[in-house]
Amino acid sequence: MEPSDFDQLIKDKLANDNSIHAHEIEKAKPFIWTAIQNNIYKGTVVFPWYQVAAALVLLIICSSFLFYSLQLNHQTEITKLNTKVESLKSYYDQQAHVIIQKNDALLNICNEVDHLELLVNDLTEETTTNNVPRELLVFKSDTIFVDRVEYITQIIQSKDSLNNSDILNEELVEEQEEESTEKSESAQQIYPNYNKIKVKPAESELLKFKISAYSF
Amino acid sequence: MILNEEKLIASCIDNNRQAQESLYNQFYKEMYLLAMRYLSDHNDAEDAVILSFTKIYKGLKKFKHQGQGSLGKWMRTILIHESIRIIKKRKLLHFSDDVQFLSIASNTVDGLQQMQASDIMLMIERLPAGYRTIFNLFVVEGYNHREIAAMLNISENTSKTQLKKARTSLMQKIKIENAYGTI
Repeated sequence: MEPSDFDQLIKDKLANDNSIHAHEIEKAKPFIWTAIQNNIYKGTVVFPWYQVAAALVLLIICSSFLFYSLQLNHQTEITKLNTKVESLKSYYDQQAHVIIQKNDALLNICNEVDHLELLVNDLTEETTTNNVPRELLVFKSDTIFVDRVEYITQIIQSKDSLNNSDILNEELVEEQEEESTEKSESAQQIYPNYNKIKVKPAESELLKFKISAYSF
Repeated sequence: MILNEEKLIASCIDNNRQAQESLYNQFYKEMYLLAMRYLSDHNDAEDAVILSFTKIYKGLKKFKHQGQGSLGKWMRTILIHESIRIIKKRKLLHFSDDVQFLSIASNTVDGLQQMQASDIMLMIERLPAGYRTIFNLFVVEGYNHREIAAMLNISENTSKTQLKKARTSLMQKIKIENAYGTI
């Protein structure tokens, strides 16, 4: 047999599937795969350096812009707040001035009130101690004419005497006649005299009324 | 997820984890067995597989797809070079002259035909590193002696000699296997 045939025979045999080392092969498979993965991705960069650089530059630009805009907004806010503070401050000054003026007015009023209270107290003291109105004394005098009704007393003794009387009222006469029938004896009869021909001056004096000082 | 090679390569380049894992699952066993044939040690084989796949994923951008199967061939080439690098690093590449050449007997051929692939694989793994490397490169991978000499920094004659010795050693093992039924 030629060596080449021998070689071919062995080569053909080896080409067949064999189960030699099957256990070791399966056992080592996952570990070998892990080791291969570690070797492949060890030190690998997900992004190339120029992409990273571009991303960094972009990040810096964006963050700068962001900070600038934040600073600008902040500055604007501060300016607004300053303006507001200034206006509040001036308003405060104005209000303080007004309050001071009002306070002064209030003090003046208080002083006036105190002064008036003192006056009132003085006045009340004077009225309680003197009991004499010092200022206004109103004198008023009125002449009062009083109609005095004169009563006539007549003593009735008989019927004849009744006719001569000044009694005008017939009823009274009748009454008197009745009374005279009842009383045979003399009786006193009092009756008003409405005769106004005679006018007598009032016997009363002129009345003087004192009106209190505070009537006017 | 099984994609055709071009789409798979494009997805792996885009760092698609699923595509990368799919590529790994598709070629892992073949690559491991190939590494074992050269290195004959599980730890070394794992290192070779890890380093090879790492180079493959990182080098996919530069890879030019030339039809179905070109990706697998490219991946195997990377693994072979990585395995040889490990062998050289461990200074396992010794070429001895203590094996006498034997002709291939007919009963050897009969015995070989009756053997399983796993048995042959084990016999190759038990060859000395120098024999094993040259045998794999010449017989399995199809490199010529000039290419093998360039890869291993040896002369073509050394490559040819070592190949003969590798065959002799294998035949002896097959004989033993046939005689005693053990490997």
